[in-house]
Amino acid sequence: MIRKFCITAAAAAAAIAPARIGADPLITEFTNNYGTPGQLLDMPTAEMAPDGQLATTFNYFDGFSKSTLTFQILPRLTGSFRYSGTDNLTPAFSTFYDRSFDLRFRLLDETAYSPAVAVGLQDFIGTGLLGAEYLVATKSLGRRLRLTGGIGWGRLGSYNGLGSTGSRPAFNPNSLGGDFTADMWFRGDYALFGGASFNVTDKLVFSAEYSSDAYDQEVSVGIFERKSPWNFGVSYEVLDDVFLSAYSLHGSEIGARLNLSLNPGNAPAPGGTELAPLPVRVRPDGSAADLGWTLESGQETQVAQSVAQGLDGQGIDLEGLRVVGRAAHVTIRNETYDIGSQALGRTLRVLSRTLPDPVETLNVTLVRKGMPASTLVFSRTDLEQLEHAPAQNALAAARFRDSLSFAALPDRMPGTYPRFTWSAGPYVRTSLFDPADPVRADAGIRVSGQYDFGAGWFANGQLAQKVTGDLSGANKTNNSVLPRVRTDVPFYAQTDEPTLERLTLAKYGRPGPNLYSRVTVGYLEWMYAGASAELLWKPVDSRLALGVEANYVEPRDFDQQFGLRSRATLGGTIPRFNGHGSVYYDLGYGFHTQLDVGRYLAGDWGATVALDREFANGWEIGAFLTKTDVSAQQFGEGSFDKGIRISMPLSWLTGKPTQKSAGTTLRPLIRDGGARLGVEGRLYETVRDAHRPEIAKSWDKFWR
Amino acid sequence: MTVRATAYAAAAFVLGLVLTGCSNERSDDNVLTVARAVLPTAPDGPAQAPTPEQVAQYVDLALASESGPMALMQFEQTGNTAVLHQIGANRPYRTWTTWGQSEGRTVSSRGGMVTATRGLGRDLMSSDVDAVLELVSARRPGRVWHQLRFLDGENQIYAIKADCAIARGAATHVQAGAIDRPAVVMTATCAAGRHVFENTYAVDAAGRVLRAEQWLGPHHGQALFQQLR
Repeated sequence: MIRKFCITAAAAAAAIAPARIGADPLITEFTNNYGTPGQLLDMPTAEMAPDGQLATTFNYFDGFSKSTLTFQILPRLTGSFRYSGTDNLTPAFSTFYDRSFDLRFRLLDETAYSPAVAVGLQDFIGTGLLGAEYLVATKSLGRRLRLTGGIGWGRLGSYNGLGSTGSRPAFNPNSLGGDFTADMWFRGDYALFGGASFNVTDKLVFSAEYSSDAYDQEVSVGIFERKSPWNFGVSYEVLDDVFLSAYSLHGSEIGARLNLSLNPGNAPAPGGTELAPLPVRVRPDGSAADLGWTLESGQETQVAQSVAQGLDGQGIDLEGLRVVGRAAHVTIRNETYDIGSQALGRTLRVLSRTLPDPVETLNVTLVRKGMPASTLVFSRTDLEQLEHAPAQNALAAARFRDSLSFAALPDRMPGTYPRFTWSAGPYVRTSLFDPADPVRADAGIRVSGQYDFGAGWFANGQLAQKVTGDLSGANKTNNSVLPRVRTDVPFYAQTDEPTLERLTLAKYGRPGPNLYSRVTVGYLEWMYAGASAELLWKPVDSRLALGVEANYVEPRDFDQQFGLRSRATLGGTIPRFNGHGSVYYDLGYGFHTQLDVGRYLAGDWGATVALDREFANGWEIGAFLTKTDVSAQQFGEGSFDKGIRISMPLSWLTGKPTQKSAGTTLRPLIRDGGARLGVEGRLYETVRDAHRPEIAKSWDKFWR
Repeated sequence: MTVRATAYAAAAFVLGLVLTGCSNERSDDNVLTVARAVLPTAPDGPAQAPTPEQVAQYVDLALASESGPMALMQFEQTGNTAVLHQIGANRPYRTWTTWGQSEGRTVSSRGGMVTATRGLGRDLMSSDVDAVLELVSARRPGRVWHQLRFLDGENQIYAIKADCAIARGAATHVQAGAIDRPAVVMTATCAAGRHVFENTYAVDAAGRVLRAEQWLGPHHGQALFQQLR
């Protein structure tokens, strides 16, 4: 019996060769107690994780916990976000929970004779409980031994200080936290620390360190005993990317640590496991030369039918087809492929197989939300000639144009609209970092539906029914002095009835060349109803886009049904109008930035800056911060709004094309300052993927 | 890193965040399909290549049922075997797919050498075999480049550019399907960094590669591509 040749996911899994410790040995996938890359314990090193590495570290010893998410932002730059809990640190809380951010930058790479040198800021936005700064050097001796020595301030300068550089404010548990602690950086006492790690094998590491952390705060309240400056540990990679460690701290504590890592650059199934495209059909010599050829009127329907069928087989919808002379123009809707070049490549191959031979120019317009968003112009001869060449040759032959630059777009085929799509499934909504209970969640069932009338008109709705959860138990005490635009969130989690998460009518359009528009009215999000209007300028070849958005809002009833509530809140009246001007720019090198300036929900004026690292496979990891004319005092705990966000394309995980992604935004705190309205289907994200810069990034999938 | 741990971590991240149960949308990713893709499947068991008799029987059946070019493909690591028929021709290139099954997996070849695969996972996206082909079909020794291109985890092409020493080997006789002809074995001993492989080609007097045993990349390893007609 002949076995078909098929590759299972397991087989695909087996062969990802680990691109581990390579040319630069000072790379490590191990993390320390603070969740930052390094093979020591409490002390930092100049080691870095592999570029793009995302590591989650859970660390615990008696009464002390730290959960840290660390991202290797650049080969030399590491950023971390940490949530730590300390039992009985202050009388006010049984457990003192604290959020902190770290950055570490490698100044010098290791050479044969000199060490790698890094500078770091620990807990540099926050209360400063874990606050420290350091300059550290690490040198490898052979393949297995690494020695580290450094000088630290703050926590890292608290034991056996050598001297002092200015004065450092003491830790104040009642501070608002959340602001840059620049007045502390590299101030106060400094001390030396050091350590060594030894890789017995690639998977097993022993470490020892001399710690300059006196644990002053903890010792003074009697929750920690520091018998010695020496710490010892052992770490083991129990499974690929799963690291387990045990250690002893200061002769008095035993602790454990778990680190789970992944790297967005290492997809489980690179290139995907989707089925093959059909090959290009090459026209016989001479058949394309009929210059006087025209498509007879009756034939067009027939051709359209075979194109539609061919595209349907590839998961693409044909909206319209027009053949004029030797040029064909199709408008397509791609709801299958997350990689635009792949959708285009498959469409062109279908066209080569279905269009009459004399047709030479292929125009493919991508339709997004009913808007013609861009048109790829490709010569059929080029398509035939480049099929077996490297994909970049085809990019050189591709031309992108604004769809509006065509005199006429194909008419929509009969039966394309209206279109109803729906989905149903489970949901989980979480609330993180509530001091009384750091992780709360509700789970339930959610149903959403979309009615596409055609011509850019959409009706959209989403219903949810909570099944179980403890979000309703969240702390409702609220000291906000601003209009309570977001801090009333616990009241929205009280209901056990079905909730209407969204019910909107939207119109998308193309008011002019390079321009895109959206108007949305209805129940815009779970807390607000109203109207939202947006205009975006984005040339099809441009990495720059500009947008404006204006919103009119009314707060919704806490039960999230059809009612509205008064705009008056204990902190003030919620203004009706808010809006922003936005600049979007693709910086290149995988980085993207966005600046929004305008009026926020609470009526405060200010700006949001966001910076994201975007992988060509769709992963996005970024951070944002918002400063408005609200003072830190008025803002309350956290001082200003900020957070990090992560989005993972589902195709990365499954190896199959899909436009779904999983994302989360982590905000240390949700307050009322710098809060924005959440509207579905903003223009930039709708349009951007259809434009050349985005499509070119993963053009190599054109022939896949 | 292997998929396993990566997938576990990612799955934990995904759960409850995006997955729908059911829908009428184009993509049907839901809790079950994702779980199937992510969770480790039972190992395939020791791959069992069909016996030569079984292959011959199947080949005869295929050749009898259809005219036109046909080929046999067999992967050394897995033993997976398929009879292919031609579905595309683009100048010197031919594209093939599994005969008797519509699997959506294709292989492209040039002059009897495999240049690309699709739908196998970790596909060979394209190859430069001009120089190899020139020497091999002329049955001449020499030293040339053989370039293979793959997609990485970020959907970017990376190339493995191998330095190949081509040598002329012994005379042989190729007998497979409708092919029954004397040939000469040409070997290409290739190295590209840590990848070292040896391809062998059986070439007839007309310079046609009747049988190629080629390395198709670090994942798929060595595969046989045998012309049947």
